[in-house]
Amino acid sequence: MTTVRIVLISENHLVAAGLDPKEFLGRVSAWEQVTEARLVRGWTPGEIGPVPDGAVVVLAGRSAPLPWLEDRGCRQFPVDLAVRAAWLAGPAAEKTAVLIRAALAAAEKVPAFSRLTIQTFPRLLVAGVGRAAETTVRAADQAGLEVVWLGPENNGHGPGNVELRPGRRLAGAAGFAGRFQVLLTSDHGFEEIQVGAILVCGHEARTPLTPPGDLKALPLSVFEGELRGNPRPDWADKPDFQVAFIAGAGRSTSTDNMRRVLEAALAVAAGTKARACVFAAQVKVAESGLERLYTQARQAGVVFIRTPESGPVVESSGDGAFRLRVYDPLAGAELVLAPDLVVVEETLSPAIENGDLAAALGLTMGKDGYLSPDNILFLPASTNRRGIFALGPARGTEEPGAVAWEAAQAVAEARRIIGATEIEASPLEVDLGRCTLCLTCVRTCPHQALGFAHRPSADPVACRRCGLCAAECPMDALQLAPFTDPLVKARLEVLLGRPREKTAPPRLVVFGCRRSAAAALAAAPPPQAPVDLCFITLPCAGRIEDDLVWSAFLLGADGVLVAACHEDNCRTHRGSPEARRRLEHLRRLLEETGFPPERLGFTTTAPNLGVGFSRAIVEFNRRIGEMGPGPAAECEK
Amino acid sequence: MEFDVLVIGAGVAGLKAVAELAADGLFSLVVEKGLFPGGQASHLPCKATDNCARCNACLLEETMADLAGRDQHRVLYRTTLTGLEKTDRGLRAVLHTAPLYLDPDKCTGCGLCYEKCPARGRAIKKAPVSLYGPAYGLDPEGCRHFQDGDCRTCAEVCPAGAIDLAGRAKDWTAEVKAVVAACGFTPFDPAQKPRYGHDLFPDVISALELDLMLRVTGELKKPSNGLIPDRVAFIQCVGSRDKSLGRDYCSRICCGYALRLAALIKHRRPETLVSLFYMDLQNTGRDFDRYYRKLKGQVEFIHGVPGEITAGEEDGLAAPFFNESTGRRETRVFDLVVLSIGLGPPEAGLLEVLGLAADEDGFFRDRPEEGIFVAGAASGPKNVAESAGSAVEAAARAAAWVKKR
Repeated sequence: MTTVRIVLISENHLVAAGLDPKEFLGRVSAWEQVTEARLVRGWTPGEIGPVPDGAVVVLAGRSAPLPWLEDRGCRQFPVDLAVRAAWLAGPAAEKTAVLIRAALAAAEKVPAFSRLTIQTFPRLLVAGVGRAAETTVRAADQAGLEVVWLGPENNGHGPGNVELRPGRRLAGAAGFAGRFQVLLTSDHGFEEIQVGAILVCGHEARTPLTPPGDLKALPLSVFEGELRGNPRPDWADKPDFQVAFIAGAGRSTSTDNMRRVLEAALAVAAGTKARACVFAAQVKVAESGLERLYTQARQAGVVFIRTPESGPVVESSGDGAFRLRVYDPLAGAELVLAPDLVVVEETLSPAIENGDLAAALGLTMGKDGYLSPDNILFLPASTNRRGIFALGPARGTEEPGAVAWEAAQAVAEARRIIGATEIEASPLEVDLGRCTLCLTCVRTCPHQALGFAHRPSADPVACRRCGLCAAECPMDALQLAPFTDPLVKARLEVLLGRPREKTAPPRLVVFGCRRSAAAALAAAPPPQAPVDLCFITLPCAGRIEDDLVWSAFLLGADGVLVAACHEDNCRTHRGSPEARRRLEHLRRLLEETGFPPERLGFTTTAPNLGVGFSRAIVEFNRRIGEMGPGPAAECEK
Repeated sequence: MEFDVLVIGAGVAGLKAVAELAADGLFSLVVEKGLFPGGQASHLPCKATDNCARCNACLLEETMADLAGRDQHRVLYRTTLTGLEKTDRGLRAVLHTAPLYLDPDKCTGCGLCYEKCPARGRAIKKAPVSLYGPAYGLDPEGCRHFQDGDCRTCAEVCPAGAIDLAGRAKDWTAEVKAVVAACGFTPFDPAQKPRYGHDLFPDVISALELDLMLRVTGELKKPSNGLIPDRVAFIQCVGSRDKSLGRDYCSRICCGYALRLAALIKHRRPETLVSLFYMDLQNTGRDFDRYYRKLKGQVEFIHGVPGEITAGEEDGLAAPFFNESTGRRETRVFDLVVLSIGLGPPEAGLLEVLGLAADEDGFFRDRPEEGIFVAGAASGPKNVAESAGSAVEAAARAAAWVKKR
């Protein structure tokens, strides 16, 4: 079966580039790979005209694929002519032609894609107790989902479609998003359940601040219980009784804790005969209504005493009494207070079982011990593994508002995963002749998306198409469409195969992450000095491998730059550091062979960093220019 | 026109809501009063040093890239909601679209008009983000044609015929079932704090102006003479926690952004002296504590805010203040003073149109019984990630509301 290849060229782009559209169209139409070329004035179905289902379509002059073409199973190759041509050297007609030819060369190598039907498990598992778990269970129930809740002991049964199973712990999750086989343990043994998604809320692990010395202090939650309790605490009617609150000694108070401290202090000052004072380094009021509560507390007579960040100095007089000392700069003297009761706030800390839980569920932990990396691309509730969410105390969130957003996102996404039964097949191809079953890919996958049964395979739902496995495979047995080695090399061959003038600027190849570098290039102001840059989009910088860098040099690049996301701002989380590690290794290899390692650069950027990225490229261009022609040019000589 | 949900504002919250609604198969109509999508977040620079600083600014680009492939929504630019009527089928939105002049549907983004425009960026404007939405727009405020009717350069050079200088305003209605109000916030106008001399001294700028400078030029320079400042001050709580201005609340995000800007300045040019005047440093997010501790040795944190800014020696700006850590009056001289301005509620006019109530600080409250949900900073000061997060929730509630009907 021959593939239909249609090239759609934006007429306005040709005009803006000073080309004769008709003449250029004639040129493209004459290429043998092209079934048909058309000039278009817009990207609506009406403007474009009929396109056969399943055709390969090059969209010359557009940066993103067209959804309506995707629906027809067309493989699309958008080429942002204006952006890419601005960074290439040469006459406009040649640049435009070579960009379209590179897209066509890639189109030659792309496999047809297929869809498949899968069966998902309709239930959703919520693990945890406390506010976040309750919010999540409620949100899931309202969304009409069946819920299994590894929840509190004493709650009888949950609302609606919620099946409460207290006393169980998550011990493992096999399978992939939509089809998890979860292993639960309890005091009575093991059980296995099938769920579509897992929402880990954890529980609020709070540790009271430990005051120095042998200070007897009450944790805030205990004090709150005492305040609410019946009968009234006996100190409530003692006019001289003084309650001191210590907020945030040695650590920043959260706004949530500050609210509790303010409310408790206000309750003491306004509701009892006792007096209240608050020791705090910073009064945290960054939440709706807190500033007003702070004012109200002061008006009610609560005394606020500013401390250094380490908190007040505590002195014990041995007989159970103690004094709190703070230097007061305004008075120029030490302020000494001998309270009758000291209440300390309790800070949220990562639960001790987080490590085991992360290992059981295959989750990447944050450096701070929570169940997701501290990476903004994982907000509100995502983890590295699709279909598993961490929220509330499990990811270090306290504010009720934020917990509600996390629950909303987790439930919405879980619902979509469960509902998606018609999906695109995995784009990962395994060459069984090459695969030695070393399972490097399975270990490498940051998303736990690779399974193994006779051979490795990527789960189509769990796979995020980052290509780290393909880059890491020591046998080159894995290929991720449309970023396969042959496809990337075909692009490079066309782009670097252009004839070259003696006075031309150095020829650069930039391998850039689709998310950050490609967007940054589109936002970058065009260079003022001559630059000749071939940009190759990668799904994640972690897709870069030695082979691609060698190819670029061998095909005529004078310099190769790899552009990744900033660390901790990578969708794959591990992709950017992996790319950096691989390049550093490669640089050392280059150095050993006597090849100047400076020809291989690495930079980080972000989608909104057009100006900075433009500067980084221009600077790299200058450096390579100073080094003279690259290895391929040397060989030719 | 009939849609499932009307989304007010094409900022990060509005766009995130649209993406969520589209993922649930719902069609949204977005009304945006400006020329471009992106809202306030499109003015923010990436504040990464070697690592991501978690400033969240790029989440706007994330959201846009997500939406660029979807067509289950329509955005009307330069459009405002002027009325909302209850009907037996839901809600009828009354809309007013100011003349567009440049038709985004016809524009191919070639940029000829922008290049040739004699008003140099003041009339034909380039979108701050190119991933989504129109590439160019025409702002009649700075356009010569609307001053003397003479200049027609853009219309003449446009190869797509997308520019019609005789464009007319349009009034229309749309039938919707629910509303997501993502109308953002109003940055505090530093002119309301005249003692800081924002309108008097060119080198007293708001943090938003610094953000924009860094985003557009990538460089930090004194507006007065283009020189690199050696001494930079940040003043926190400008228009926040200020009862005399009727702003009796913390704007929540200013400490976070000021600290990140300070860190960026120190990272780029470590010899710059950066001071930060504060009342109380506020929590923002999971890594705030570590981040603050890392900065402590690099940035001078001064407890106390200056009462005013005056002309200081050698063209500097003098900031007299009461240092609450030492109990002394001091004066410092700076080359650049950045005012960390607070966030105010969106235009109150919309409250009436939507029939919403405001909270004590003027921020919008939901009206779930009518299918009106508030997302993003319109319901209270939020950073970019929080705005997007709250939009996910608002969209989920709007979707549930629509499906019930």
